[in-house]
Amino acid sequence: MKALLIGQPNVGKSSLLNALTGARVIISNYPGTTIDFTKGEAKIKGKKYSFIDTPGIYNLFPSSMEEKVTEKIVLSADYDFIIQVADAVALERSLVITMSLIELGLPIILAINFWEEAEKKGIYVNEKKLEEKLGIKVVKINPIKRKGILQLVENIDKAKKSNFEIIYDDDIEFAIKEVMKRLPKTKLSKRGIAVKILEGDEEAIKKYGIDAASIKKKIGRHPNLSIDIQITKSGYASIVSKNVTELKAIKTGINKFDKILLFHPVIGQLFVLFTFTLIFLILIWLGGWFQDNLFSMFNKLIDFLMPFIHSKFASLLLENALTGLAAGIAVAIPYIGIFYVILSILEDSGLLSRFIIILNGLMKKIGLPGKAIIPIMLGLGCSAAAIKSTRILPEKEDRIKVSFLYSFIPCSSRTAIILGVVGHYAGIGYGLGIYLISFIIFIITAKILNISIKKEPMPIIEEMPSYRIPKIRNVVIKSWIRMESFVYVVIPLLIFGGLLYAILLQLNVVNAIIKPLNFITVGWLHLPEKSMIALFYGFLQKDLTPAMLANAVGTLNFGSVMTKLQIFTFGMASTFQVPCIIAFGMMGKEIGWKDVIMIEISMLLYGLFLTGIILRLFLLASILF
Amino acid sequence: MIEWLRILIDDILRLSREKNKPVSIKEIVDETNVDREDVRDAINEMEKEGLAKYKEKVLLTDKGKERAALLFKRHETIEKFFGGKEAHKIAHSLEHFEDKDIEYMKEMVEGKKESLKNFKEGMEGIIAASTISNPKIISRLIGVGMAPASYFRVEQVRSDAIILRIHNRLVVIDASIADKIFAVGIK
Repeated sequence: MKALLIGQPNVGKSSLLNALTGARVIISNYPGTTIDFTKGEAKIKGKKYSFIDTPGIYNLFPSSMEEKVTEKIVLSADYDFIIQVADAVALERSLVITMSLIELGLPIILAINFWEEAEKKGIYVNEKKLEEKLGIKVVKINPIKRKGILQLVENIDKAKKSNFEIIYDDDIEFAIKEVMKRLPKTKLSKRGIAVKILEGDEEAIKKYGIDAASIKKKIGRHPNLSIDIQITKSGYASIVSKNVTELKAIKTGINKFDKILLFHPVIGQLFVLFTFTLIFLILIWLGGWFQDNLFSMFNKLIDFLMPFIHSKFASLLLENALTGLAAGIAVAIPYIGIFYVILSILEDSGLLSRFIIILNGLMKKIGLPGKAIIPIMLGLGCSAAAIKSTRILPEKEDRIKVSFLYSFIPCSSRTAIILGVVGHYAGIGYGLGIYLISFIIFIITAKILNISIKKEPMPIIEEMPSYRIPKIRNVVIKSWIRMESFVYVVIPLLIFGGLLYAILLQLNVVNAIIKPLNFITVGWLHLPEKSMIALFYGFLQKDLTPAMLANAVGTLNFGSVMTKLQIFTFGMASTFQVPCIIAFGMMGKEIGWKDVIMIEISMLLYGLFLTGIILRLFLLASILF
Repeated sequence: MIEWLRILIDDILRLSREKNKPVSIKEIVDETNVDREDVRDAINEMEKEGLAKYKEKVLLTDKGKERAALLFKRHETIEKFFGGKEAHKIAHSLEHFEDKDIEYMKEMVEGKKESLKNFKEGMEGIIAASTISNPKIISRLIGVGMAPASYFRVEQVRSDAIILRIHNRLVVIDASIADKIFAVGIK
């Protein structure tokens, strides 16, 4: 049996999946964590059940990419039943989704979460009454405390279609019947699909090839049929919810912290600035500490092993492989790991969602929706993962814009270059300089993109989660899940890259490859010609950059072979690029290959061009002053 | 009683009230698109319940008139909250709920509709209507709880956005959207 978990963002689907199956699922305190499906399996009453967690939706009429993903799987009908997780505190909102599911004739179990919180607030949901009204099984759960799970499991085979009927006005009813006549036989209820088509739902129209324009024309009295259908459905949800909910003294009021943080235009933004500064200070201090200690450990290891190897080629291989590995473990992991831990704490506490509001005005100025701050912050971790998270943005244009901008949002791997290479060997001022320049170029580029990609950002309509104290276990698991792919994919790549370079050295072909590109490295960027190797590897994977630079110049002590300005230029050249081949592939998958090849080429040229220009500005400044 | 029969009776009552004079079977058939026989069944049932008498036209009794007035009021209530250009039609489809189901709305029907941007911090109200025509935005608004007839309290007003407590959750709405949402204030 296959069950879909459906519900609003942040309503507890992921924790329910955890409770049902023990799968490791990321639970966050901001909308939009589950941008992919997560699957978990469990054996119940001798039967195998698989549960699929879907991205949160506010409505079955999608207003963002992630909602589209969920709607698509709902309409696919490729499952046996649905468990809808509802929010007792705001039952009506959940019932809006229920109405659409019922209309599609889907077997449902309604699992009501947060009922304890609701009761604390004086809201009592009568699940028996709700069961009666809708004719489906209703169970109260608390997946975090594992309450009600047993009862849900007991009733897992009781999912059934509801007889509850939403009646529209006569004209709409007439249109529904007309559309139904044209529909082929389907697994879902024809009436439900007809309503979706009349609502103007893109997915349903595409799937069944009926756009109902002629039918809509016939009933000219509804100039905005979609809205009338939605409002009617919400009316039903509203009336049902009011009738199964008992309200005793409602507590209102807003958190004092929010009042200061959000309301004050200056304090709010200062707070965000302070948080970002703190993150960088921690990265510089703690990351640097790890980097130094881990590196010296690796150097000791290399020094220890070298005497045992007598073949020149073997020692070349070993040294390069270990340098690659050392760069991964000592330079990249500390920065990525620390960043993800901090980010998880920000998410789980509910602070990250506040950033959306605080920065809304600023984001609007650069033509992005306030919500874009989430994929942008994630981009400070790993761009590849962040690209996927752009699904939370409402329009494709926004996604393309942000994807362009990832070239100027230093991910952890690039942080390792900026702080670990530039900051460490040229001085922290240079490292911070790259951040500052990235930020300025980010703004300028966003402005330029606004001219070429025109689209008014969708106005902000967001929910703010309540503050919660982050759970250490959740933070650790989440950081690890986000780092996992890095450890398993990137580190082997690093070792392999090191080995490949050793072979190229042995075959003596390195010069032949890098010479023709001297006009870029030496001519435009004033860098040692061998740094091309590092830049090229960086194009594939940024974590390779420090390692390959070390390999290419023959030492980890970059300061001894390059001037400070050269290290600085090198840092910019390797930072201002499409993040890596993995991010490139991810972008292709998410927004289409044609757009991505355009992004890749234009960003590469743009980045190199800007680096050279900035270098020349520096040179000019040093002559003038 | 069968559901459709009750709905039909409600329709006949509402029609009589709207026309403010006795209606004929033909008028009822034209308005409701129901078969003649069904209309007859409904009228028979109305006679049995003492709501009306039939003499060429449907003549409402006092009890019938009272019931019709109640229906009309209910219609008006729903119309107020589930507004928009087609408020009348939508209200028509929702009015078949029982009276006690929409009791909560009636208390607020007296207030005046005002744009959400005129609401100040700490003010409370009920969402009534909007002039937004983008269905995606409507879908999102309903999804975060801003459906018609929802109670809210304004928690904060910023220059770019307004923060509401609605269904006990905090929701942020862009100022440009708040302009186009109308609500009835309480207190």
